[in-house]
Amino acid sequence: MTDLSLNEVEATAKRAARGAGLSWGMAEEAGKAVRWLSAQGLPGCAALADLLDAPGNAPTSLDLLSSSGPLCPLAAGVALSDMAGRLGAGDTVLSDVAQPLLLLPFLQAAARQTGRALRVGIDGTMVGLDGAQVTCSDPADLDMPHARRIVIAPGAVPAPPLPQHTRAEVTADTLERLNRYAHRTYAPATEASRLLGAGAGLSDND
Amino acid sequence: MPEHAPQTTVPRRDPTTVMRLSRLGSLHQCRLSFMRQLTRRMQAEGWTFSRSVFEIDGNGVGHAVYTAQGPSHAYSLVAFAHDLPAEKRSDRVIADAWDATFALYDGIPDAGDIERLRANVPVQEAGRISERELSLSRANRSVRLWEHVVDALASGRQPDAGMIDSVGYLMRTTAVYGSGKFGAADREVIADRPEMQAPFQAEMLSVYLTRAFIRDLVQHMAQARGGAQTATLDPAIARSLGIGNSTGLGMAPYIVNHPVLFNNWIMAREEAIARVRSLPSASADEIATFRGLLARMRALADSWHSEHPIQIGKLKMLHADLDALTARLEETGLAGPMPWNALFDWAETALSEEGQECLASLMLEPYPDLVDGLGSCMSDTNTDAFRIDGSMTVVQVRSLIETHYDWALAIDWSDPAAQARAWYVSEEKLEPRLGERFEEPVADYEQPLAPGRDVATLHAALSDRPKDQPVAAFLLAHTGHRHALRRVQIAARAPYAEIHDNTISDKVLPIDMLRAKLAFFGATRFDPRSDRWVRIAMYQGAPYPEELATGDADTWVYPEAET
Repeated sequence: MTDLSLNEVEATAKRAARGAGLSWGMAEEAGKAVRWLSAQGLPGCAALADLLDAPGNAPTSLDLLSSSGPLCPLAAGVALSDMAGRLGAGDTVLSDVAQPLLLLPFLQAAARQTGRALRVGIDGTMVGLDGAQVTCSDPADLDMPHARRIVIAPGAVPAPPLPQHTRAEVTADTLERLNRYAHRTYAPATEASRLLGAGAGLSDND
Repeated sequence: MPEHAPQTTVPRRDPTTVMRLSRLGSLHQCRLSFMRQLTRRMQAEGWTFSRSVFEIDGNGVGHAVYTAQGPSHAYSLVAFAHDLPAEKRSDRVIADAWDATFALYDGIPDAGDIERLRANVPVQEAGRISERELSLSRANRSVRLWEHVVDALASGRQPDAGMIDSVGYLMRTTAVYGSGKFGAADREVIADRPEMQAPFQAEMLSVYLTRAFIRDLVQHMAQARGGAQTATLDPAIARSLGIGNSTGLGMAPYIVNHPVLFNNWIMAREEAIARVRSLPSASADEIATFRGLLARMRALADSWHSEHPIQIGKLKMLHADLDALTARLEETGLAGPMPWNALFDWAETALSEEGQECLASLMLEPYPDLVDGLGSCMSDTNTDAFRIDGSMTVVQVRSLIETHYDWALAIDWSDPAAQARAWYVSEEKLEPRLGERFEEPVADYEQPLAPGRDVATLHAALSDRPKDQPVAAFLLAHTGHRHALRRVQIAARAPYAEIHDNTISDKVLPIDMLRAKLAFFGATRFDPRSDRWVRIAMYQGAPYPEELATGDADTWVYPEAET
């Protein structure tokens, strides 16, 4: 296990997402999402590594229904958060979602934005998001690779709020997988770039 | 801004004026600078300082602990001194050994902490620190001055004033890593403490204590060489020694990557300038303070040396500007209505950007009550700024771009010169670099540090979309525009968030971005060593910890003028 600061979590997740081919804007979302999950003590890094290994599909419209195959939780998440005003009026149902844990940060952002608490059912596991805290009777159940059906509705889930964390414990395997993706964003060094790019100039040994 | 903010009749300057690279590259420190915020606070709160450990041998190898005790928390600099072979000495990020290495510990370290840090701090990026540490840094000697000072003191003499003046510091720090880097505590862990609320206070404290350690180390090394005949470094000479810093490209992307934070820095200073310009009159005391510091500013300019052609030219202009400003004061004084506004209006027509920004900072000096409270508005606590409002329509977004990015739409991005450079991160040290897009294989690795180009591209991409479509629908299929759209929505709320210039053109000078950030730190004597790295002085003239209670904790940045 490696003890990471949340800044390191965010930076690693962002670079990994970019290295796996996501746009910079989506990679920024992935970084913030994984950081937020880690602060709740939830395994965000592992969920992202699993997602990058087996990506879901982006929805093709804002109704999030017309996707074929498992939905990407990041793509679905930003679509829901971008249109936060639509959430919480009635039920929103998503089917067949990869790494559903990664959807939660976006729903929490939407709840904070609208001031409407959300009650999220993930294959029967209930999560409450009130814009500040997360309530869940059995957080361990959230660590699932796939959800058949997610129902987002207005309301609360009575349970003790998850304690906040300032660090993330990440397994060597997860970190290694994320760093492998992240590595793809780094330009190979050449002697020319070493001198030119870093800024050659006057001697600094004086 | 707070609700009790004073009325201003003169508005804040327009971002179109303020946010140009050449002006950002001409910024000067001011009352709001992070070093001055720290030294003022430590004096006002009666912080105490102690050196609990100084175990350094005759070869200059060992460790020391310096503790600063504030009202509710203690912070300790843990310093490791090394015997570095000359051929390994480099300030660049590609170095892997240093003369001295440091961590700022949150509290007072025990023996176990010291051993843990001894195994990690000397190797810097190759080690790991923990949530108990707030920063990680290193420093190298100024070879010329170090040897001279050790030699002079060991011979029973004080060092030569000319030598001291020409260099200004005994050691240069390079990177000072904070905010969760290499395992350190995240900023959020300390952000609620009043003394850490302003930006970079832990890093500034670390450098402040480092300067005291370096003074003690040079005395120790002189003693080891000179024995009984060794002179004690004159405290006035010691005060004239700052701590150097070499800053490279790593810092430049920061102000692009933190648009809300950068906005808050600039906004605070612009609000302070507007408040002073709005004053109906200036009292005799206020005028005397300004005149006194103007004279001292001239002394500061006289002690500012650079070998870089661009800075040599700018210094020449600054000297001429300070002459002109002094002459203007003699002619017209500050007795008329709205005297600061009149003076600044004149400066905008008569002085270079160096001189204008120098005056803008100096004008704030007589007004701590109007200015200093703005220091608490300079951090970024608005995490919601990141969220995109996807319900905004295509036509609304295009209109925002036309309003806030007209400067970007005016650039011909198809001209290769406009995109000559690309920011990328190197594999070998994971640090930002600036490459030649059309000459090096770096474009595939480009970092999103060209907001002007990316927003102009977004504007064009939206041109054939249905006007009333929510932009979220566009983003669903065009995720490549997401980062640019986020910036547009941030810039619409934060007027000083965006640099209004091309950050990838063939003419971009990264040193302008470095200077903007370093000026807010409170750095002086900017000395570019190329177009992409710069040396500065920090804390030059500041009282040492044991002098702080009775010393000048605020205007130390201006050297005493010769009378």
